Amino acid sequence: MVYPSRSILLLLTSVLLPNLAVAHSFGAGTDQFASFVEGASVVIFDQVTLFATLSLGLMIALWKNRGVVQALPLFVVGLVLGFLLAPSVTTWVMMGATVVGAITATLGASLNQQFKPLTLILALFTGLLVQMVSLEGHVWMELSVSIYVGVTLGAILPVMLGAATGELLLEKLPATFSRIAVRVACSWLAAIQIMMLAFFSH
Amino acid sequence: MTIKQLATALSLMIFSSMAFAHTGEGINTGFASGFWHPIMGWDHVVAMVAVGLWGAFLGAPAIWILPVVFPLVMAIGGALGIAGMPLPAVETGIALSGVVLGLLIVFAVKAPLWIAAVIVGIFAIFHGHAHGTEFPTEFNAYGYAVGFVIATGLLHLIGIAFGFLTKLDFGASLVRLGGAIIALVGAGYLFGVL
Repeated sequence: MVYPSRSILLLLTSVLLPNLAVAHSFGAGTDQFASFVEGASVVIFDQVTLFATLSLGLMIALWKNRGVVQALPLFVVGLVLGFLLAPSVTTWVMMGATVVGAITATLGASLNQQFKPLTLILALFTGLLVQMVSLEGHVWMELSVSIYVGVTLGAILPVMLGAATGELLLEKLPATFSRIAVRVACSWLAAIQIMMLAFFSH
Repeated sequence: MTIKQLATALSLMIFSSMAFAHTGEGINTGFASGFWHPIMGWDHVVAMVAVGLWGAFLGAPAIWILPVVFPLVMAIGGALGIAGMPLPAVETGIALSGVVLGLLIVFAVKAPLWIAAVIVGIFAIFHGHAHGTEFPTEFNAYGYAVGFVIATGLLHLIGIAFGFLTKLDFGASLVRLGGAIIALVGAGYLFGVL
C-alpha cells in the first residue's frame, strides 16, 4: 500500500482549507476597497452623472488638444465645493446636473470652436453638481474616506475617458470627419439629457 | 424505439406550444423599447434615412450637420411629448417628412445649409413628439431615451452610408430612386394606405 507523503498532505490541507486573501483589501480585515468601488459606482452607474461628465470630456477634447490639463483642476475644485455643499442639497440637484450636462453637450454639438472661459466654467459647474448629486444630503465625513475617494475618482474617470476618446478621434481620423464625429456624439448626449429633463418633470 | 415511445414523441411534437422566450414580443427593457421604437415604424425609418441621403446631395458640411441638428431638435419634441404638451397633426407631419425629404432627394435639391437645417428641424419635432408621447411608462425612462437616440443616429448613418453611392457613376440615380421610394412610403402614410 502506498501512503501519501507528509508534504502532499500539507499541500492538500492548504488547498482544501484556504483562508481569504487580504492582499488587496487596503487594510486587512476592513472593507475599504469595497467602499471605494461603491463610491466610484455611484458616479459611473448613474445616468445623470455619467452623461454630464462624458459630455464635459468631449467638449474639452473639442476645445483644444490636451485641454484636460487645464480643465481638470477646475473640475476638481468643483468636486471639493460640491463636497462642502452636499449636506444642504435635495433632489433638485439631479435636474441641475442634467441641465449643465445638456448645455455642455449642446454647446459641444453646436459650436464650431469651443471657448476657453465657457469650457472652464462648465468644468467647474459640472464638478460641483456631479459631487452634489453623488453625496446628496450626506453630512461631512458621514461616509468613509474610501467612499469619498471612490466618488472623486469615479467622477474624474468619465471626463478623462470622454476627453481621451475625443482627442484620439481628432488625432487619428481625417480632420473633416473626426471633428464632426465628436460633435455628433455630443448631439446624441445632448438629446438624451434633454429627454431626461422631460422625464424628471414628468 | 417502441410503439409507445414513438406515440409519446409524436404527441409531444404535434401538440406542443410555441416557445415565446425570445420572440421579441413584449420588449422588456427601456433601452430595447427605445431602440426598436424608431426602427419598427417605417414612417420613422424612411425619414431618418432620408436625412442622411439628402445630406449626401448637399455635400459637406450639411451631410454631417443635419445629423447633429436632428437629434437635438427631436429631443425637444420628445420632451414636449413626455410633458403632455399637444402638437397638432403629429402623424401628418411625420408622413409629410417622408414625402418632402423624399422629393428633395429625387430632385437633388441643393438648399442652403440653414434652410436645410430648418426643414429637418421642423420635421424632427414631429418625430420626437411621437416618440415622447408613446414612451412606455412601465420601462426605464433613461434607457428608453438612450435607445431611441442611438437608433435614430444609426438610421442617419445608414442614410449617409447609402448617400456615398453618389460618388459612383450610377450612384446618384440610385439614391434618387431611393428618394422616390421614401416619398411613396411617406405618401402611403399620409393617405392612410400604409
